[in-house]
Amino acid sequence: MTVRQVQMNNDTLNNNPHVSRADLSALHQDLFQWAYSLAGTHAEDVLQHTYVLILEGKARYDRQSTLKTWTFGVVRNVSRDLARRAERQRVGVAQLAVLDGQAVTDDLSLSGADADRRVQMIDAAMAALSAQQREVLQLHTYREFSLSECADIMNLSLGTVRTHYHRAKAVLKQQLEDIHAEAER
Amino acid sequence: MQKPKDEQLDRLIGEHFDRQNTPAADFAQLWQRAEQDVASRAEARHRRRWMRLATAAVLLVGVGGVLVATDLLPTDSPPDGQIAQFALDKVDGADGADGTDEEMQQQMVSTTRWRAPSDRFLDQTRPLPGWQLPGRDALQMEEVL
Repeated sequence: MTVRQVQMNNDTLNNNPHVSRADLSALHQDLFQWAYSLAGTHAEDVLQHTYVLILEGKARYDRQSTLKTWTFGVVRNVSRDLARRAERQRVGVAQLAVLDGQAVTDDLSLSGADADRRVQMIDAAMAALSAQQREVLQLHTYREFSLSECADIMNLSLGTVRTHYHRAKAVLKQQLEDIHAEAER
Repeated sequence: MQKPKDEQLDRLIGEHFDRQNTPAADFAQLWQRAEQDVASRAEARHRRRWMRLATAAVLLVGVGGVLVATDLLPTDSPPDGQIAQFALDKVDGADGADGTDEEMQQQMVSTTRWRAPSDRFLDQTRPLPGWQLPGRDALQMEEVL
């Protein structure tokens, strides 16, 4: 048994015996960025609620996937749940947009203002993708989850995730080709 | 026109998400808030459970009290046998009165606070063999009268 395993066993949560505080602490940075991409400025709320569910054992890790995959899935579910709740409570449209992840795409256009044209174009192209296409691109290309893990996190079939991924890449490729064509003219 | 390679596209996607990154909130702080949230939720659950129990108990006692008060125990009925004996005395003239209906009625009103039970009540409380219920005296009295 490694030192790491001993530490995990000593630190495990009462209602989630396969999860430890130390593990969540190690994943915290990635989880926060993921929550931020889903819920914008509500990332802290989403993550806190995620930790509450894990502490209470309402979200229970059964080791059927890696802990990272599982926690990413919980964060996504919590984010969607909070968005639905906000919708039911009929909060303002602006707040809904934030919870739906639109705030991140709004930020894109602002951040692109002082970037080069290619950055602007890629940001605009990313903003034009559907939320699920952006999610699968982030998970697979940026966070290096396999498409199968992406399917677990997004609670979709592997085929659907694959379709989202390839369509998103095709849109971005086309966008880049347009940029090149424009530059050559 | 040069077709962009997948690696280039992946790099651009990576840069895009790098630009999205923002400083993460402090883990210890979020964790502490989550633990406090869990504790307060547990306390609220505990309080709600006791409130439900207390409400159920109050309802049970209330409903039981109403049932007892309305149907089973007419609290202002006279002691068993008193009315029947009173009526018999009047008829027999044992108390020295002449036993007229009018006098008897007046004395009954003035000496007791008893209210005649309704027909429905009498139907419901017909005595079983060996039972002595308040309604029985009333029946006897009516028969005598």
